[in-house]
Amino acid sequence: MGQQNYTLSGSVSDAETGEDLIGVTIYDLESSMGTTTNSYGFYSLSLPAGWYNIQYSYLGYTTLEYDVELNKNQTFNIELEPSQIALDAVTISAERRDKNITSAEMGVEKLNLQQIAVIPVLLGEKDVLKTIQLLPGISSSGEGSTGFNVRGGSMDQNMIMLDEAPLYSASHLMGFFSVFNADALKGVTVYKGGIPAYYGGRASSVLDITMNNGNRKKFSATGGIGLISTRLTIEGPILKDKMSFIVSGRRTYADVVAKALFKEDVVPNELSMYFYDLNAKLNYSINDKNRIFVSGYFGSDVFGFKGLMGTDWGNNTATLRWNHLFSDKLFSNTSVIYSKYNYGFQVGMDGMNMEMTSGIEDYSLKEDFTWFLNPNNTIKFGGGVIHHLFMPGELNSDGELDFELILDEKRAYESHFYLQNEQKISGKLSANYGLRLSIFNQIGPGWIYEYGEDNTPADSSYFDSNESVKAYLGLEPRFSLNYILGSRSSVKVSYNRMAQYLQLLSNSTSGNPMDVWVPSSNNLKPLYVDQLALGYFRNFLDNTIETSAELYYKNIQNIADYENGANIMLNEHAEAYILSGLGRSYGLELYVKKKYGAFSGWISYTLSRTENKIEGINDFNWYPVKYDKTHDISIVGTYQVLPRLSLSAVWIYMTGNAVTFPSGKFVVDGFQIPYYTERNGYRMPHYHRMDVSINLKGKKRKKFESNWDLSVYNVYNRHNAYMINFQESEIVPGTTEAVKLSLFGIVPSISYNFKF
Amino acid sequence: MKRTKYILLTLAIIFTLTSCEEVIEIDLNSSNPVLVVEAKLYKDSLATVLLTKTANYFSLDTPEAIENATVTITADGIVSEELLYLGRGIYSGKTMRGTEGVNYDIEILWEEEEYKGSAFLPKQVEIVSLDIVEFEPPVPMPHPLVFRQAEITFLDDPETEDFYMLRYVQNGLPLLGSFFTFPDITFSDTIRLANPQLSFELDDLVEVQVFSIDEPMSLFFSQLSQALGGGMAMSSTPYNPTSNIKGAMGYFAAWSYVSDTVRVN
Repeated sequence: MGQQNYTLSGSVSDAETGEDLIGVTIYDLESSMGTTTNSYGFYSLSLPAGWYNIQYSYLGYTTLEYDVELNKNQTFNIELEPSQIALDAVTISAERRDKNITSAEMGVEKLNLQQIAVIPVLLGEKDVLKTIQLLPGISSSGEGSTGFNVRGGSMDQNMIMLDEAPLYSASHLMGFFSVFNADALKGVTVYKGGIPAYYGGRASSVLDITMNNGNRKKFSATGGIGLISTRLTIEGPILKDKMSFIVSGRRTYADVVAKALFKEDVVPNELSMYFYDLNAKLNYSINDKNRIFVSGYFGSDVFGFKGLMGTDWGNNTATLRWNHLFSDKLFSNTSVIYSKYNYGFQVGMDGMNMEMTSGIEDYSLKEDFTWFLNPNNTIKFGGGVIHHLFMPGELNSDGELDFELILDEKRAYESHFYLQNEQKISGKLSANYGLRLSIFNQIGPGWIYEYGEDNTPADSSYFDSNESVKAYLGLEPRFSLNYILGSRSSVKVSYNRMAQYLQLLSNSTSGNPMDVWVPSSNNLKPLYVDQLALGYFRNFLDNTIETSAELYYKNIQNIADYENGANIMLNEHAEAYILSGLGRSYGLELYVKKKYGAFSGWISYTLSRTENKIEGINDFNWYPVKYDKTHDISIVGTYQVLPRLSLSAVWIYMTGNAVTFPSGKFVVDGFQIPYYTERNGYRMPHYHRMDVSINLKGKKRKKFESNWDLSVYNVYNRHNAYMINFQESEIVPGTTEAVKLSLFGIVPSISYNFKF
Repeated sequence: MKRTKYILLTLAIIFTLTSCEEVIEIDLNSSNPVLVVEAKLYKDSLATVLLTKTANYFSLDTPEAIENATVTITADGIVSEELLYLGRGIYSGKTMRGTEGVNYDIEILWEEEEYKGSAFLPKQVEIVSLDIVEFEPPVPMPHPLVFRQAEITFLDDPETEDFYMLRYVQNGLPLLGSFFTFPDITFSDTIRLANPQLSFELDDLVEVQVFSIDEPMSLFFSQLSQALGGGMAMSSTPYNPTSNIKGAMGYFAAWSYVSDTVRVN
């Protein structure tokens, strides 16, 4: 006769702030059976009746142990005290020490925000996106840019989510700064392979970012003043231990400083040039079984001259979530999500006003369940639907030049269902496997075109409101397997198929705010990516040093590139200029990471190749994509010199982007004109630079903490090529030359941060 | 105040140290020479064709002329004329003159390869006025500036889709890179335009030429403009301006033009 099972469940939070802790390990010390908290701090562990020695452990917190007699279902809501010793040393990960060996996950990295705070960056603006670019398999899309490419995927193949809401443009100031204010964030997880079935919508990666819930115990404020921006975060309880809030804002002040520095004839009062972010969140525990969260992000970039011209763009998101416990084993989360990205440009002068707008807007509803079946099986299932509204562009002009150009809005529904099991098959073998079904349906109203060889419409049809234009179905299997070879090493294999039904029309490698999202349609097929990865993981020195080697291969269907001279801006028929074909990406990623102690850091190396084969480009031969980088090396180190003083340095090296350079020239009408023979047939010069920073903490007082951060970007002042132009010489007319443009030389910065 | 000045000084240093341009040496592949055509047939004029070859990008030599080609132009598929070789890669028509509303074909035979292209000679427009428009920049500038643009107004048939190009001559010298192409997108019977990139000085003698061109020529010159302005490197994959002669670089233009002159005072 089988023994009766009982469930130990509850939540784990920070004792000082009440913040939920994600990924806390809960396990029985004798049997090693256990689980971890989910993204809402909830856990559930079903065990046979009996006595257990349950341990709650989380890096940076004091470990708790309880002797528990499990003779009925029990709820333990645990508060862990931050460990002062652990906090003083810089740590890279918030997970258990051997998680990389024991977990079936691969291609996943969870960032610690403390680490982000000490890594030197451009102008001292601490940045999540620039930190993940230092990981293997993830590369920067350009100098100083927050854009990133994951395992050969273009930027629009990254799903970037803030509290589950997708962000369609995650950068400010032409891509130099991300929209994420690190003070407001709780967790950052990036998936580049082995992507679980509950994620989808993009072909290459998922960046899942969660905001802090707000301090449930006491009011506190965090902030900082830097060279280009200032930040302030306020959080606290509304009802102690029941309801809390957080409001976090950031604004740059380059225009304010410029106006103070220069006279009006140099920097006019009419100038506006800034960006801002505002994050807000409210959470309320209705009772032990129900909790709601409301969060939002509002950000915008503004540049212009009052009364003359202006451009602004930004994201707005809102998320309403309801956590509900159906039982000790069944957890649910219901989310209603809104996300909008819009771009606007206005000019008004000399009796003429012109305005251009574009954007995308989503409404979505999704339901996720986690069923903690037993210690060996955790089943996740759910579904959702998104209504996309695409606004490809409008141009209106009045006054002397009176015209309007309105591109048809497009609409689509994107639905998904998934089922996934995280199974511990034996002491050495564990697996995550699942299936995701995605359905994309472009709907009316609007005109739909088919194109002839000269890219002009050959046929057109009108579809009424909600009438189906074109539907696509994606069956996306996901699978990862981990076999533990010993206490220190394991081997993993993963496979995932991803479908992507949206695409960003962009002429640039690193993206710009005018880029336009478009749906899969009768002309533009969805992107399908199959990825197979194999990894070996080994830890040394009592899990102090982690190493890994991962091989991956991606097969890409319907990858898109543009015809020569493609006109995609404000063009109703931009689809006609898109060519599609095959793509492939493969590579080796090596990673050595020291997570603990006075000295911490990592070395990452990626050897990779990404190329496309598209009819109409390079005679239908394989050619490298722009962001293909053969070698990509990052070395990151932080040394805790004294309890209050730490030094950090980052060195980066990567192969230059693949580019199209001329292989000759010709003369027409007296002009020296470059002559091109193949796309992306050349390489930009190699890129490398070193950044350093010093972080000095102020004397610790009871209610006030502070630190100074001095950073130097590009410390040896390397003039990396941002762009190379081929042009006729101004000094010796009739001759041609190559001119390199470098953006940033050595850039020092200083910032002051505080918390009370 | 002292602290503020210190911060501002730091900012100034940052911006001084960032962003620079330098001429660099770079290894580029050699490519097989390709035919380059510069063929023009003006209204009421004989055709002139210059044939050269592409060269290595950093070559200091003048383009190599093609002397052994056969060039033929045909009007409306009926009347043909083989052009006369004048030397230095230049071929000239003998009797056939450009006529409005006629389709022309060009055929070039060079090294056993045949290159073909077509062009349409559109109707010449009528200029209404040419004025110098002065304005000060709406935003305060470090030094007082006055922009003087040559604004031309000409008649346009609102019923047809036309393509135009403006070229400028300053004090008798053609302004290289001054061409400015635009499609006729308005439904008005007049077009008033100025090249916003050109500003003239007092006493300049400015000639504005309005070319009536066909759509392939409009595409070629707008792409050429991007190639010369560096716009391709900024925003898209660079490419060769689309020639209307298959397999060759350059163009075959049949066009009409009219011009007017004004002195800046």
